[in-house]
Amino acid sequence: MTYVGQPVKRFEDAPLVTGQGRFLDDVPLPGMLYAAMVRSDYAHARIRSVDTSAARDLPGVVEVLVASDIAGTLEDIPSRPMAGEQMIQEMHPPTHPVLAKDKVCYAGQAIAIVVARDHYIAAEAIELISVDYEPLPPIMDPDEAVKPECPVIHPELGANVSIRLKTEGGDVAAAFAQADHVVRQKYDSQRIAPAPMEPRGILADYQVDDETLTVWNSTQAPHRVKGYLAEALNVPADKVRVIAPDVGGSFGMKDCIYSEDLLVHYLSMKLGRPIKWLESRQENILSYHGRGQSLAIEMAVKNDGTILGMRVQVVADAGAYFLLTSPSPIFNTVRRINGPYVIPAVSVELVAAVTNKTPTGAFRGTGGPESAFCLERTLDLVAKDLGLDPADVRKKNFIPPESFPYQTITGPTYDSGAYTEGLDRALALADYDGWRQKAAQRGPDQPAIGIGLATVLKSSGSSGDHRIEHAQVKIDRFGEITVLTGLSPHGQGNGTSFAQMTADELGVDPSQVRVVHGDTSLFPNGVGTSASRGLIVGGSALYGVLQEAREKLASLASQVLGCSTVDVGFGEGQVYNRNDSDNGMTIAQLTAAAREQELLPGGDDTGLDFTGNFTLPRPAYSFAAHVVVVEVSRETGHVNFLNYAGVHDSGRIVNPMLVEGQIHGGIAQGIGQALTEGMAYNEDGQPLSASLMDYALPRAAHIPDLIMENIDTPSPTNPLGSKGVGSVSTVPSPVAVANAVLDALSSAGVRHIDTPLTPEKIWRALQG
Amino acid sequence: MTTERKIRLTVNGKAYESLVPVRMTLVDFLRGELDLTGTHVGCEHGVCGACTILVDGSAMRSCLMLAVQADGANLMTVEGLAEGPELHPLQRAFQRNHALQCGFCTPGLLMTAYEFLRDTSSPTEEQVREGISGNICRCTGYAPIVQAILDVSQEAG
Repeated sequence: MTYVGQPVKRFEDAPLVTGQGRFLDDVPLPGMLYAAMVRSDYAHARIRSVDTSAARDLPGVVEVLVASDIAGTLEDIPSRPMAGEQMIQEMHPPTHPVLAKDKVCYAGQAIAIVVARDHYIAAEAIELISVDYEPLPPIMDPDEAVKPECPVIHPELGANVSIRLKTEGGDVAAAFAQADHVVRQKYDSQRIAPAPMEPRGILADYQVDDETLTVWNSTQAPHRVKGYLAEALNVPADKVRVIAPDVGGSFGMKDCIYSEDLLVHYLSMKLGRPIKWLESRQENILSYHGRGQSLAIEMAVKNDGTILGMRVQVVADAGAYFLLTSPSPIFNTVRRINGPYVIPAVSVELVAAVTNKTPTGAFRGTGGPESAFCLERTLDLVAKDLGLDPADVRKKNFIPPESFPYQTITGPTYDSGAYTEGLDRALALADYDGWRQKAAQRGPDQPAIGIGLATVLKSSGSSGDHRIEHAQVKIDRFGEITVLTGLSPHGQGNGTSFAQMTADELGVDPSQVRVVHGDTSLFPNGVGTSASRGLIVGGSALYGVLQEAREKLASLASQVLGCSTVDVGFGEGQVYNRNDSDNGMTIAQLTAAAREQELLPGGDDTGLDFTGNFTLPRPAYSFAAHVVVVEVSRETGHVNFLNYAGVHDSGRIVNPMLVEGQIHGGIAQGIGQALTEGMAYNEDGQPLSASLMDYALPRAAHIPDLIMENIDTPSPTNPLGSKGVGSVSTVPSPVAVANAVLDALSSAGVRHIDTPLTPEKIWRALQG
Repeated sequence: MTTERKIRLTVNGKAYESLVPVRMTLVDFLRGELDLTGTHVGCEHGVCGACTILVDGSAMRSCLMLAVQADGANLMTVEGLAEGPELHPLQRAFQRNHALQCGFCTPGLLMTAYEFLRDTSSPTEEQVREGISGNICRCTGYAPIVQAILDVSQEAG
């Protein structure tokens, strides 16, 4: 039996369906106190004073801190350094103060923290803290913010610009000079709230006796949290233990360090008490956003649809400060601008604006959906302007399968792919030709049918220190197999896929393998789960370690069974001599026999303990082709899905059920981005969508049936041949849906509407 | 000053009597006082459905109720679905269909689905999608949840 490639049911599920999961708020500690934050009511204001006296007098309140209480103790929150990037023209990120000092720069920014006996008292206390604000005009429009005449939010920066990037390749001027046609359009990729169903949370427990800090943190990256805490709090790293319990989703937002991460731990150390902080939903919606970029493109094409070149100007609405991953989507949008196409001449310039809004950072796809929206919507406009089929325009420009590895004109190198095959399969799955006919037959009094395509790449595995991951395999004297990984899955199901991989290599049942993650004291090295890297980086690390374990077991078996190591087989729970397969033994029997023959040490330590790591040499590029069919009501602007088909190339697949789960979930988020979601602000900088009543996450009735298939072009970047699948479907889905809706509206003369394509916006556009 | 009141209620077939602060929410009571931490809080304003439980047989948002309002009520939470080690058919179907990823919304969805199937025999897919539209899942895209519920209705039918 081979388990890799099978839809093995998840071992993670049993506790989660019975209410026995252990999420952050399910962890109790005796004597625990509760923290709550005072946050800015204003987008931009000077703080004249903060009066905490009434709160301090409230019975049950233990501590209140404002910025002056931590001055010189807690430094600003770190952001990711991006040194050495060729494309940087300017970079001076505004660091996020732990607590606002003399000024607040976005609604929701932390001003004070209260610690109290229970969370009701803490909530009452924050209402008693009075902040005297002097409101300042908020700078909300990123295009205005970067103009030289605009007032500057952070005077030390000199301008409302944190990053300027530029990359160029090929002869762009010549491309435009030769063009038969140029398409010009600007797209807004609106701010999105990642909105994991479990908001963030922290439980810090400092033990004064032995000076240890134990931390439960709802995070994607416990090892990174450990490193930052040790540094920020000036504690030896070996005294800090970070545990990621069950984590209720994240999508990028739990991969940063926030004010509360520093404050709650600092206070636990100061007070010598365990302290819990749980983020409210409103806080969650105001603490971190994804997307928030506008992209203006000029694309030069020939009459047959061949792309000659393009110029892209990106303005990132990066918000008031940088958090850890704030640079990631900004750089990725520029890196990923080429898509799966041969584009001989490209120029991209990006400016990241400082605005009076929430900080931005990585959100599922991280620059991929933004750049893909620009390219894929433009290709549909090219097809429309030239009277071509959008599928043909894509096929004409695809990088052919024999060209890999393929280096794009701006630098990134793609590993493998079969783009025409993938698109053709998606067109067939969707009955593309049939829907084109049906669309043509619709009368003017019927809802218009629109068909949208998107063919995209998702760079997976990431770059820099993200490219490494660690794994360990231990076999104890009872033959129990434990896998430890530096990943920190939070719904992805690596506990199951890693058990499958281990089962195949060591010939056991996956249920015999225990997969452990999310505790820095159990496994010291790790980077975490992000950037679609779980399987290709973490899984590859495990794969290497499993080879070592298998080799060692084979060597022992050859001595115990008296055969050559090449004749040792693994399967059905047995290690056996292939020439005498009836006389196999379990791993437990093998280790017992090996100990008896003194091939292994006695005592509890078997010595069967293998550790290693894997560094991804370069990203693996997953491909996706989506075909979406919608009908749009001319009376109400309502969008109804008629069909949704997609084909993904994720390389070799370990568990197709898990892959489909990732793809479905990403499409639902993409549909949200296309149709319902988006942060809204009024002109005073007040957020208008800071609850789930107002921020419209898709619900079951919004998501159509999805027809999905996979193709498999193995990636040469890693021993599994896999490509990351965690974010791939968030890249094509927003633009495929938008292309479908705008195709339906094109007969009414509508060329562009910014997402989300709400019924109101569509209806207004139809009124002309 | 916080005042307290004594309440008596039944949760998953077990009777409790407890002195609770009048401002304590029902979900905090279940989680903090009875250690029934399977019921989750996702939004504290009754929109996400993660805290859904049955109150006298009806699906309710336990984040929007005070514990004192449950005085005399008969409650059922996700911990009451399985019979000992025997999982409820919905729990099995959720696992079989990969209807959960992070699992945070799952208890609320199970309780909503439990009430829905009790009241709707042989539902259509559209009815299921409507029936669970008060519960948000950010991971799965809903299709496997819908399929799991349809599976159970077909097993029962």
